[in-house]
Amino acid sequence: MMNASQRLFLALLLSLEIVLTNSLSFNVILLLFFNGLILYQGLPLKRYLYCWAVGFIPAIGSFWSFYLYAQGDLSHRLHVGLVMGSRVFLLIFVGAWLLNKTKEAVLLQSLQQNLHLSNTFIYGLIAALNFMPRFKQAFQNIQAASQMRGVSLHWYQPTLYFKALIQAIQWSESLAMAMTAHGFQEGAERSVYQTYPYKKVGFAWLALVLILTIGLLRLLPY
Amino acid sequence: MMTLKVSDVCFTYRKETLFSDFSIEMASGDFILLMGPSGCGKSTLLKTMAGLYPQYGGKITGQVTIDGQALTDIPANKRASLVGLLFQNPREQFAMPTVEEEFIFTMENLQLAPDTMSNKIDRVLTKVGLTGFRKRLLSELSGGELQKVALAEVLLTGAKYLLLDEPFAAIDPQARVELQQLLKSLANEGYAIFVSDHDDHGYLDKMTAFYQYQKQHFTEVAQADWPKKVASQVVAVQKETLGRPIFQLKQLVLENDQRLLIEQAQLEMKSGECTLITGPNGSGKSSFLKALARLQKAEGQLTYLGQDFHRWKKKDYYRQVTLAFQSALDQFLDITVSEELQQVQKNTYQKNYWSTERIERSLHALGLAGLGNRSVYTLSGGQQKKLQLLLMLVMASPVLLLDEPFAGLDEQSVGVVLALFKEVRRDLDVTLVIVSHQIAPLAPIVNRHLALEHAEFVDKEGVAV
Repeated sequence: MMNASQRLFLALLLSLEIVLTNSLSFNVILLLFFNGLILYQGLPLKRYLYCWAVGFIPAIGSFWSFYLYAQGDLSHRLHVGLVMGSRVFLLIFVGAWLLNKTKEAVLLQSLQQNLHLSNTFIYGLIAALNFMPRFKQAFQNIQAASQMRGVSLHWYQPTLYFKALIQAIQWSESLAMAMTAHGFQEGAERSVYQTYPYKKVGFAWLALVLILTIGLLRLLPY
Repeated sequence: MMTLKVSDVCFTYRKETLFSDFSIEMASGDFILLMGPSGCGKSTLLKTMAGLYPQYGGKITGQVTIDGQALTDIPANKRASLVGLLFQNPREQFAMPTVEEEFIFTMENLQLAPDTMSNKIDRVLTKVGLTGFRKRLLSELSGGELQKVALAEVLLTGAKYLLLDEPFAAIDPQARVELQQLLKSLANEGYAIFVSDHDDHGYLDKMTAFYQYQKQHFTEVAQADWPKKVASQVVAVQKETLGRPIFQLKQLVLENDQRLLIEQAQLEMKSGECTLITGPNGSGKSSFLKALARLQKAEGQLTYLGQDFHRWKKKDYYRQVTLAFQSALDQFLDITVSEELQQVQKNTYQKNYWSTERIERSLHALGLAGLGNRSVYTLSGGQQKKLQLLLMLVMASPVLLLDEPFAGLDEQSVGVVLALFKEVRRDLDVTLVIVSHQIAPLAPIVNRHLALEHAEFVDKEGVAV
């Protein structure tokens, strides 16, 4: 129905509405909708529960801080607190919907084609994403190396990040060389194997969702 | 004129000359082997021949031409269809997550027609014996498979000159034999192959020319002087009855990339020993050291000083057992040479022994005197290695594991480092476990030689040099 770029636009549009609105019922309706949607789309249960788990602390945190410290009477503060708390979950689930059926590489490549972003930027990002798992091992090595020298580096110490940064710079250089060796030339024309064109019906969906949500916001009282 | 021609190339990086006056001509059917110790500039030479230098730094005099055209005048997306390079580290040469996406990335760079891509992918995968690997994730492949993927990717480009930078450093002997045969058949088909390696095993009956690193130069070796399979001399290991057992390993199983490396029923290592570990490339020597340093998962009942590995707090364990990493940069914590030295002097387990004078003396012997204010990141590879070894010797933990401690060091430096090893062993009773390809200099000081053969350690009576 929509290509990856259009899905991103929709997610951004909804996120904007979500952060600008103060309607709890709007949040709850969307939250129910997106929960239903991603479960219908077959998101694995583990990842689904993970989404809730990740949001739990920030959601409780925002709820409490507004409930306790916002201005106004108790019922107003409760309202604002619930809006803020549900907002956290809603944003997480919109993100989960976006990434559930879209591979990062596909999203980036379709953005490149649709918005004519620089290939260097896009392929740099794709390559960086592929390197992420290796950072875990790198951090372990750095921590072990420091303990072998009689000091413990903790997550809050800059030396740890300095060393990780050096590692990243080394990786990025070897990767840049590998890309060059495989014929990647900045700014050069490339052919395209897989195209990700905009879909007309996708724009219709975007418009429909926009109208629906604005309508909802007008109608919903609370 | 169909040649890749290197004329009098000299490479300088940060005012340091790595190699000079190198000339060579590669033509269809050639299978050339380049040998030299780690750190002598083999990688740099290959990257220069592939046009990556000077684009990525360094200063080059002389010229590299392909079919008469200067390499520096050819843009990357044209260059890749003329000359292909396989990198040393198989994990650092792919930008995309899967085999198919990676191949498509390359073909898109070269502006190949989209409708021909799919067939091409199948064809090259068949050629390197990886049918069915099209959709596989690169992160799940073994080192040998990755090098085959890299080779297939280069074949996609149509490049006729293939440069391979120690392509077998991280793969098992079986994959090595297969790949060498594959390369030879490519040479017979008309490709020109140039391989760097620090081991001539398996090349002698395939290569057409042989170059070796001697005194800052890569020089061609006449066929009469090619290495022959000579009966090596065996130095007997001077076994001593030594202290109490420190490492006790039972039912040890070590795997890497879903490949069995080591399966050992029992192994015991005693304090005060100097153990040399040898074995083919990729057999699991480094992984074994990492397992002892608890940086790699290993199964089995593994104890240090009678206590299970996992019952040791990491912090306490690393006060007992330290590892000198293969890459010196991984060991550094500070910025300048003197900061590093001060750090270890403050934290050493032998404060009385490592006086400032003694450290100064060692610095002199290693040729590192006067570099105090230099950043460790701007030292040469050899200087970094020497500094790293000194730092770990000053730390003087009861057990010191050394992974290729002589990589990139010249003969004289190796001598100085060995003298330091001997001194520290004698005076401080440090247990050393050394993995090294350079066996000859170590032979006189080791008193145990463990050879890794068919996934198992065998106690050898002698060291073949």
